[in-house]
Amino acid sequence: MAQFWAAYGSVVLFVLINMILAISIYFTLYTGLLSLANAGFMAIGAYVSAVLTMQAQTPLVFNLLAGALSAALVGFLLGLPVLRLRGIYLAIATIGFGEIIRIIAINFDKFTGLTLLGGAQGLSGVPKLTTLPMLLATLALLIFLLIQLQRSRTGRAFAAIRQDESVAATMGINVFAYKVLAFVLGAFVAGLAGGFSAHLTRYIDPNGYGFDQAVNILAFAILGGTLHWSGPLVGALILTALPESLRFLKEYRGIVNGIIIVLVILYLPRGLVNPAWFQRKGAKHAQG
Amino acid sequence: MLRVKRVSRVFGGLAAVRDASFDMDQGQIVGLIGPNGAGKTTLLNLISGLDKVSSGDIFFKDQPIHHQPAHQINRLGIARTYQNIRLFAGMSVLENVVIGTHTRGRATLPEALLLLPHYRREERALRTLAQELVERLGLLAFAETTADTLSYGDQRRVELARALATYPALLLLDEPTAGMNAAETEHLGELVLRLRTEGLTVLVVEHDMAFISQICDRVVVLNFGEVIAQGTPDEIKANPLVIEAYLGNADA
Repeated sequence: MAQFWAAYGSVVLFVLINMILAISIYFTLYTGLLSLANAGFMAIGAYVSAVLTMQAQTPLVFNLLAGALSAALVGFLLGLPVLRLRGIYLAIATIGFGEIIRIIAINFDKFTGLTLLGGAQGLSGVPKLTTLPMLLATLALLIFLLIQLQRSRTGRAFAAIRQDESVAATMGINVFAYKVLAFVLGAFVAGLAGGFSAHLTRYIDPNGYGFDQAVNILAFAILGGTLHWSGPLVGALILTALPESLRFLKEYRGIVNGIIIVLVILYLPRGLVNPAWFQRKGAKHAQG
Repeated sequence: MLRVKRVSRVFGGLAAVRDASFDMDQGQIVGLIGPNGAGKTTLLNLISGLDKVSSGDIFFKDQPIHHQPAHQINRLGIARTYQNIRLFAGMSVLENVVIGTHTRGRATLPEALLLLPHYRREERALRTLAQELVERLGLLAFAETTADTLSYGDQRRVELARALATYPALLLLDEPTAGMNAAETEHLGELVLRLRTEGLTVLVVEHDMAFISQICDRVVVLNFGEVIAQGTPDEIKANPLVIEAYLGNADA
């Protein structure tokens, strides 16, 4: 066991962080929003929490929450204009947001004359404070809250909007307000994951939260499916752990991830996790 | 109750509805008929807020509603069903109806996440409410069935239950009998009449003239987006303009 942990401990921690990211994109996908902004929100959470830890020496819990709340606030301000867009247009606008965050991160120190974010070299020397129990507890709490959310009136409104916005509106559901809520919840959770990630890898690379990362997060959900909350978690597990177990393939191992995603899209377009497995008669929460 | 005043809706150069005006009183059942493409569904979309008027006014309870978003219009008391059934597929019949109770809930998201008693009581109450409507529409046997696996007639009743769950004062029905057999149609007519005795006002788009005669106090006839006639079902059936709109000019 100790041997396993010595060899794979960091992989386990990365799997857990990516599962938190998978939950962050589930909020928007469950509401029918194709958003690629979560990598940008992750960057905000990473920078804010790391800078607080390094400059203000405030407690980690405070810094993580400050990072997540900053991401949520930016998510709210971004959501007001971009959530008027639908489908692929929303995806493109949120990709643009990711680029803006990346460029701000790189140029922040140059413009302000401060040495806070480390510019293009990235921010190194972040204390390693993220621990396994912390991640496990966070993930468990998020899963509990997610299940409660889905059973609630809010969760039903999200599901209704995903299925048919117009019908949801004629049922008295304020479609725009609920879209903003889903977007902000996703931003908060992505910001939280960013904070954990910065305090695990001890380094923030401004280019590590760009388009590639945005697509990686989306791939968790595509692989696992979004019909059940566990889908994106399964996707995150496979896409994070598999490359590690395929080290013997050397530089070709990246191809395996690509092949898996192509196969899933072709043969299981709704993802690996089938909600029918969990459904009992009288199952309470709404499924898309 | 509902006043449609010189309403037009223009798509590009084509007027789907042109200068349409009619009134409805509280407790009336009004039929909206006309040949295919006459603008009936467009008019329902305008009243329910899914589409915006190009010009003209719509008043509900003396309040202008034509600039209100659809969810506000529903909260004021207008609910509708759809010509091409639009249930939440994959959800059970009961789930569909529970979504209709949305505006009756007050519990906030934090209360729900923390499972506070207020939230749990409310959830039970909303489910009971939905259950009663499901039972009333004779759908109890299907309550847990996935809604989109039911027959057309049953799906239409689910849509009706979902609309009623929002507790409307005015119900807009878009071809409610399509896909129903004669017995189902008659049952639906009886149900609508019973709902009226409880104070509901109904505007119904329909092609089935027997159904219209069974339930409607008045009929409004649209053709090419214009109101060409209004009156009781019998008056409408005898109106030469209406006969011409449906059958063409007898002299032609």
